[in-house]
Order: sequence, then C-alpha cells, then structure tokens
Amino acid sequence: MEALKSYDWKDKANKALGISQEDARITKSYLSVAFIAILFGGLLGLLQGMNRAGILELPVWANYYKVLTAHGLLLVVVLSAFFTIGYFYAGLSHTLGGLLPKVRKMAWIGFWMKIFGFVLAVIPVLQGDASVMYTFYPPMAAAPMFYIGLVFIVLGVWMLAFGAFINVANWRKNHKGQHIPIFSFFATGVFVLLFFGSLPVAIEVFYIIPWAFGWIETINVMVSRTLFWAFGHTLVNIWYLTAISAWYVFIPKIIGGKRWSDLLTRVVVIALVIMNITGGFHHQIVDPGISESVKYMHVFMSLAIGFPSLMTAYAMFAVFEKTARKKGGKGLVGWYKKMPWGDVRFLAPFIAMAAFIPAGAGGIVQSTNQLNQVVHNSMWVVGHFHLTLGMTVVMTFFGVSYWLVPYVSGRVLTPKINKLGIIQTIVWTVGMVLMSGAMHWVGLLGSPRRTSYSTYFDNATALSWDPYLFFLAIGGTLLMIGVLLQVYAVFYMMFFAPKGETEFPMAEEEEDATPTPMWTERWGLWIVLMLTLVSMAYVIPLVDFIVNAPPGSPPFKTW
Amino acid sequence: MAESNVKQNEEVVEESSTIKGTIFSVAVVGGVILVTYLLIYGLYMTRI
Repeated sequence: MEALKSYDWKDKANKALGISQEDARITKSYLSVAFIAILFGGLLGLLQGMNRAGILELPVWANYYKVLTAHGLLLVVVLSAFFTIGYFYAGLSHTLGGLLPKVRKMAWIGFWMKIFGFVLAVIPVLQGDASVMYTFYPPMAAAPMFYIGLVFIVLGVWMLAFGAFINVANWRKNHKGQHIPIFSFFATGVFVLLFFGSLPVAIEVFYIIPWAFGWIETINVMVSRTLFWAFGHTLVNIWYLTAISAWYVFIPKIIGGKRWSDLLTRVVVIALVIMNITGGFHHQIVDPGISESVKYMHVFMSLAIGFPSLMTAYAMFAVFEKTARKKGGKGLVGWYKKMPWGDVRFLAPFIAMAAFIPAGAGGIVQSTNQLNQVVHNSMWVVGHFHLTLGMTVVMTFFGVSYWLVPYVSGRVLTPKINKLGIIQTIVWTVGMVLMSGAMHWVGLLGSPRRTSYSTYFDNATALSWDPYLFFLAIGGTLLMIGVLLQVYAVFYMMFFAPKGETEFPMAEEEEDATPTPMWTERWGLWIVLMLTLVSMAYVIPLVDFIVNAPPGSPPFKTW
Repeated sequence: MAESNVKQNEEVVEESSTIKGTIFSVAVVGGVILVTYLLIYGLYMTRI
C-alpha cells in the first residue's frame, strides 16, 4: 500500500513537473546519437546516389560497397534503434511515473554496449574488411570484429528490452486491474519484438563468428539467411509499430482531437506482435530449398500484417475527419482544409502516413511469389525501402522530434523552428519522391540493386536507365539538404531554443468511449501465441535445412 | 424561423457524425493497392 501511494505520488509529480532530469538525459543521449547517425549516413547516401547516377566516381579507399555498408549500418542499425529507444524510454518515464533507478542504469549500460558494439563493427568497415552490407549474408565474410560488434549491439538491445519490461511489470504490480497506459502498451509490444526478433540474428552471429575466425571451414548459407530474415522482417515492423504509436497516441492531440478507439489500438499492437516474426521468407521468396507450402505460410503471414495496417488507416482517417468536422470542416474531402497544415508536428507525420499508402501497396505486391519476380533484387526494392523507412518511419520520427526534443530539454518549439521544419518537410518529401520514384521506375526497367554504377559495356538497356538515375541524384541532394536542416533543428531545440515547458502530447480517449476489456493485457498469452506461430513457420524449414544440408560454403571476400 | 434553426442544428449534427470522408479516404488506399497490383501483374504477364 505504501509502495502504491509512493508510486501514485511520483506519477502525479512526473505529470506536473515534466520528465526528471535523469530520465531526460537518457533520451537526449539516444536522440543525439540518432541524429548524428543520420548526418553521416545521409552524407554517405548522397555519395552513393551520385555514384549510381554516374555523376561521381568514388575513390578506391571509399568504394561503393564500403559506403553502402556504412550507410546501411548508420541508418538501419543506429538511427532507427537509437531513436526508437530514446522515444519509448521518454514515454515509459512519462506514463509510468518515471524510470526505476535500476532501469536507468540498464538504459545507460545498454547505451554504451550499443556504442561499443557499433565502434567495433565500424572499424573493419572503414578498413575495407567488412563490405558485406547491413544484411551481411554469408558466404560473404567480414573480419571477425564486425560480428563481435554486432553481438554487443544485440546485448545492448536486450538490456534495454529487459529494462522496459521491469518498469512495466513494476507499474502493473502497483496498478492491479488497470490497463497499461497506451503509449507504454506500444513500448511493451516494440520491446517484446526487439527481444524475440533479435534472438535469431544473435544465433546467426554466434554461428558466423567461428566461421569468420576460420575455426570451422564452412557455413550453411540457407540457415544463416533464414535466421537473418526472421530478424530483418521483424525489424521492419518494429519501425512500423514505432511510427504508428505516434500516429495513434500523439497526432490526435496535436490536431485537437481525441483517440478514436482504445480497443482497436491495442488489438493492432497485439496483432502486429503475434503475426510479425513469421513473415521472414517473403524476403527469400525466390530462394531455393524452401517448400512452397512454407513460403505460402510466410507470404500469408506477411500479408496478414496488412489487416492491422488497414485498421490503422481507417482509425487515422476517422480521427482526422471527426476532429476536422468539429472545427467546421465540410464535404467529402473539404474537411481536410481544417487540418493544422502549418504545424510541423502534424505535417511531417501526415506525409509519412500518406507515403505509406504506395509503400504498403508496393509491399503487398512484392510479397506475392510471381509478382516478386518482376522486381526481385532490382532497384524497385531499394525504392520501396526508402519509401517505407526513409519516408513513413523517418518523417514520423522528424515530426515527433519537434515536441520530444523540446520536452526532454526543458525548451520550446519556436515559430521560427516550426517554419524551418515545414521547409525541411517539403524538401524531404520532394527529395524522397524523386529518389524513391526513380528507384522504383529503373527497378521495373531492370536496374539491379546493390551494384555500383555500370553501363554493362554500353548495353542499350543499361544506358536507358541513366535519365531516371539523374533524378535519383537530384533527390539524394535534396535529402542531404533535408538532413542538414533537420539536424540543425534538433540540436537547436536541444541546446539553444528558449527555455520553457513543452507538453508530452498524449491524446485522451473520447468521452463516450467503450471501456477496453482487460483481456488485452494478457501479454503472456500474446507471447505464447507468437512463439507458436514462430514454431509453425520456422521449425520444419530449419530442420530441413540442417538435416538435408547442401555442402557448406567457405568464406568469400567479394570486394 | 424556429423550423429553420432546427434544420441547421440537424445539419451540424449530421455533418459532424458522418464518416463519408473516412470511407472515401480508405477507398483511395484500396484503389492504390489495386492499381499497384494490376500494374505489376501486367508487367509480369507481359514478361513471361
């Protein structure tokens, strides 16, 4: 009872006084690393874009594949993970009455493990000993230090996941019979996926390390690819779940509305957690040695993610329409005029949502076995990836940064920075539409991904890609300008903006909302269901790959 | 006059509770999925 009182007091104090300095420091550190990563990762992306357009020949010491590996690591591994963790830890602190002292310690240990791991991984990349790209598919082999670095990154992620679980479990113990606050519900889902999703890649890395050292001669390529995509596919949806957490929880408040349905929101989180890991084979859909029935299951599970996505689309449009009509919006689409287009905290995530319409459509199409053959390993896939991660997810992160950074820094979003944010959003949108559009189109024309610029001995088809690749370079240049504007805005808001109080803009439920049933809180059951599906999807093919293993492969250095 | 007020109130209530904009927007999402699917399916059929 004493503990409960003390916890309620902390909860109230946290809401009244804002985030504690200790908790704020954690989020600021994670966000700083994330935005430094986008600065360097963006620059490397520009170099690649210029190279692919045939405008810039990269020097030998910074060849295309080295730059591509570093670009992928910085943006896929560092930016997304550090932003996600900083963002959710701020939310855990806000909604659960502050982080527990031991959880803070775990957050810092996790932070330094991830930084240490990243430094270990990046050294061989810079030395040219690990140009294996962020998917590090065997039989391409990097220097062992690269994989040891990855081990520390995964251990850091686990530390943070368990920190979040401890904080949530403690809150549940002190608030029996209550729902986990919605934002922490999202955080729980994300950290469950981060932990269980990173288990396969941890096994893969522990399998690769002795091979990279030469202690074992060969590796089973299919097993390692399968373990990677069990993680990779989950990671994609972790980004998505993080982005929609902002759409469901914060956007309604920013536009002056209420959350649409708490039950639907929680069902979407649960569905994404349960169905997520089992879609890995749609990334290996033309790989040999996987039975059609297993591929069918994975494609089915990948497409099943479309259902919570469409539920999200409905929920978002419903919130927008209801709020806009309350403000006097009229007509079939005329009510859109009542949305706060001049507020970057809305504009950036809204464009992110809009981008998810073609991005999701592309994803659905390329998951289909036959249709995948039209786009497989082509630049289409790179365009898809930039539309989903670079636009849907990252623009949501940008939008969030305009209130999260001032919130944790005890400062305010000024009208000047809001205007800068609007300009940044437009620049980023135009840049990404040009770049991603060009990538999609040349992909359909046959341009391969993961290759530096080549005319293939002046082959007519390859030469026909050039005019479109020029748009890729223009888009990449605009994106670099967007990166500079965004990084400036973030660090200005963190260190130089006027001091003041910024709200953590959590939307409330509607007054007449139906109470959410308590079964949504049965996390043990959701995890058991998730593991059951994972077993159904992976046990048979993995046993098949191991029992009927083809000859293993020695390591290759292809660069 | 009173009758006209009643009508206006009804219009406001009807306007704020309608979901026609939501349905239209979700239909646009469905349309984009369909068009993308048909485009790639067309290319697939042309190329096999």
